[in-house]
Amino acid sequence: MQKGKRVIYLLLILGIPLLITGCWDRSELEGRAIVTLIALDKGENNEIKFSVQVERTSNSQESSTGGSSGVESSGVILSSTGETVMDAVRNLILKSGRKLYYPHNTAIILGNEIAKEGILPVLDLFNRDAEMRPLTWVLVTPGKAADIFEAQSTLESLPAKQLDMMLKDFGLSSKTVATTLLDTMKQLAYDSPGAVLSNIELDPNNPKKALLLNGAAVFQRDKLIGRLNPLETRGYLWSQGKVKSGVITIPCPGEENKKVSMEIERANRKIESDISDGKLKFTISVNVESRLADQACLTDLGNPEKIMELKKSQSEVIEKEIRSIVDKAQEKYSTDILGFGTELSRKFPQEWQNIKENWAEEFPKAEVDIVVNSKISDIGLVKQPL
Amino acid sequence: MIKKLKKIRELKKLPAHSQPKTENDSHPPSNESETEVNKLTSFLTTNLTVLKERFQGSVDIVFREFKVGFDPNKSAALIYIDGLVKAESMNATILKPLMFDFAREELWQELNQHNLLTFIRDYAVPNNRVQEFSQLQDVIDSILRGNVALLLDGFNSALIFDSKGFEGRAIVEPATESVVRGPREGFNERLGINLSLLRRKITNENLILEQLNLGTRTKTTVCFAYLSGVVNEKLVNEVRNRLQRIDIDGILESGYIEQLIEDAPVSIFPTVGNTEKPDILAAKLLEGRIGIFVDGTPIALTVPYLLVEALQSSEDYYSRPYFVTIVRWLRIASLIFALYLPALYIAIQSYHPDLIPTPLLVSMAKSREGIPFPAYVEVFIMGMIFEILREAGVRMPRPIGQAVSIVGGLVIGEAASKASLVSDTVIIFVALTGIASFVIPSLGDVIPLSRLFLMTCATLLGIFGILMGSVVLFIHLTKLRSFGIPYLAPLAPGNLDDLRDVLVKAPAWALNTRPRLLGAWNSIRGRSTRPSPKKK
Repeated sequence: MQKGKRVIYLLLILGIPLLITGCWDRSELEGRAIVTLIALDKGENNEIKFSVQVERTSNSQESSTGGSSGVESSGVILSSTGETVMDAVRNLILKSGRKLYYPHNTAIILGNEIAKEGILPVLDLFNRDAEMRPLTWVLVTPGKAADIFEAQSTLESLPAKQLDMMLKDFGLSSKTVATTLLDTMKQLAYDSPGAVLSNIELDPNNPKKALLLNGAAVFQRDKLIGRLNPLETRGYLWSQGKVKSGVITIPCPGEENKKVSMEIERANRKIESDISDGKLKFTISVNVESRLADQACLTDLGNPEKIMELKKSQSEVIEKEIRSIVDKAQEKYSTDILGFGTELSRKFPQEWQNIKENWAEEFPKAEVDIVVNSKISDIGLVKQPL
Repeated sequence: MIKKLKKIRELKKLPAHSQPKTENDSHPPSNESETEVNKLTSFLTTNLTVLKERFQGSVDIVFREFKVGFDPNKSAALIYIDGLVKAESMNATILKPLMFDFAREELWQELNQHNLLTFIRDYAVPNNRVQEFSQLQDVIDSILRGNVALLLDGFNSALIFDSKGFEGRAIVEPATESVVRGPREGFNERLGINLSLLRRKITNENLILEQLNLGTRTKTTVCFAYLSGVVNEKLVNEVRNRLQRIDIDGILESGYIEQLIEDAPVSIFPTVGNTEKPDILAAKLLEGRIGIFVDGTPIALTVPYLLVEALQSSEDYYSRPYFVTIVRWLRIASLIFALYLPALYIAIQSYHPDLIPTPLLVSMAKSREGIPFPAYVEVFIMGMIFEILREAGVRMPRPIGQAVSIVGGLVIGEAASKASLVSDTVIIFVALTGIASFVIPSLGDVIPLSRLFLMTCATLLGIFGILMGSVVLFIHLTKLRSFGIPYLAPLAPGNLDDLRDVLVKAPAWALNTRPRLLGAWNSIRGRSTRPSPKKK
């Protein structure tokens, strides 16, 4: 009897974990549709148009033989509308039949219209839901987001995979930004004045509709107010210290119409803020180390004077890039996308309390100094073109 | 008693007693005279009758009656089992001296001055091992073991000559434990040969072999071996006690002993090890373990048996240590694969598809498309088919085995996936799991059971279930003991010194201590240091 009781207790105790587990959502793979891309657009009647690209898993045999050229997209596009994003998400199940599965989603693409109205309301679901990942890329497109799905992937079988690779390698050119959902939320957090997200387009020069990362999109608060071209984007990255690599083309000393490419090896930046006589002053100092990658002129660049000249013109080019974004932020957008406010609040917390209120007015008036310190570490294995 | 002794003396004076049988027959066996019945009498005919009664007319028992040295008064009989003795050597060394040599005049003179029995024992028969028994049962047992019993009329004891010569297998390389480097010889079914193989490995008077006869009907000889001075005496006593406690009618293989002495009879984990090779057994004895031989089987047992022994192989010690270390890790990895792979597959694909990279998920989903069963049914089916094929491969006569492998490899693998009954991914996982479990043959029966358990856990609760299942397994493992030694030693309780032979394989010169829990008595194995060229 005593033993029987013990066994019953043991079974009860073992049964408890079955009841207290969290999400119990066993479902077979074939009952799921793997979402790889999400696009959000403005629909009719102020609704939200929610489109997804789903990986085609059925008829695997035919598609694997037929798709050997690698150009054919293996995605299926589904879309629905709803008053909120969640509403649209659930409405989509009415059309798809399968439960959409989001953790493998690569990117959320925001259409121009929806970006202009503000992105926080539509991103809230992705930030809140357990199935969505914070490392999903967030991109803005100048047209309709769903149009991006029409792009043909070139090297990868999945368009989403290609987009993922493009964004991961952004640092090789440093001419665009790569922002994840987490980055986006960080930029928009704490009443920040603005944000910069990556911008994706369909390549206008390619009739076959290829993807192209083109510069960046600028947000005031969470509303789209403009775009940066690739060089302005790099200026922005310099100011954020996010330049990893890339190529700077500078005039060749001696032959000014020919160009020399400098490959950025490493770079860092420091922003210093100062308040004197009620005037704000910021100093962006950038240290950059680069190497000579190629030269289009025939001059012998392998001597110290030429190197000094190269350094000088490299500094000038970088300074110009930074200046262009500073000017644009101050004059055109009047929006502190560069994070000067944060710097100021760290160094002068008391003063910041007064400035904070009318920072939007103060920011354009601030004086910005740019100091670039260039270093050329090596010129490669040859002194001049043979 | 005294009366009886007197009677015997009387009888001795009259060697040619004509009618002894009637006297014995007139006393039917009773409780009172049981000891007398169990003893040999001085009358050959009586003894023979009793023995024939005991053997109940078995055809293979030979009673060879003859007269010693042409003397019609000196009756004698040889009793042996046909097939268990070497007939030629028996004829030459026992029958010839007794029948012909005794007829010679000078010997005859000599003989009359001696007791016939002691004379035969001490002078006449050139046999290497002679015993004298007066208990009937001892004589019977000796005959059954393949000895030759000599009964002489007028003597109440029998001489037992060793003339064993039964057929047996040669010493061959064991099929279960083949090696590339190392001794090829393996034990066979004959206890004596097995003991001699071990003795040849350890030339030391401290190698002690103790013998018991177990099995009330089979009376199987069981022998346990240990190295005194190395082994823990308590362990020896424990093994002896456990063996002596065995009460079973028959022992046909060491597996009987294993199941009767193991610490955790209801656990799926073995707490008694086994080996077929003398070098492995010698190594275990040198570590302070005890080996148990059973006559009639090539499989010797070793105790205590710890889990880490499953991950060690004799070749690890014969090869240079660096690659061996990697092989050890491979074995650990194989163990983990064999236990967890199907469970992880089920868990990931039913509960956590977010845990794997997108391309892998997509290809998994593509192969799952159109499969009518849920993942766990799929894996269970494939796993079952694999076990069926394996079992069939083991039991099948060798020529048919070919057919099984063709059916298994081709039909089950290719056709099942073509017919969309199971996905390619599952076939790969099940195949990998199966092969991985062959890497650790000594846990061959543990792995499938644990795997099934973990798969069930994964089916019910995903990775959380696998975690829970592993916790249960580990709690069980930490509770297990083998002859008092924690089963997971030296991992838990941890011992850094002993881990030199577990997580890595240290070179021979660095492995100079015995496992701490085993070699408690003499833990230093040697004092050799790292070999180095002589310094000037």
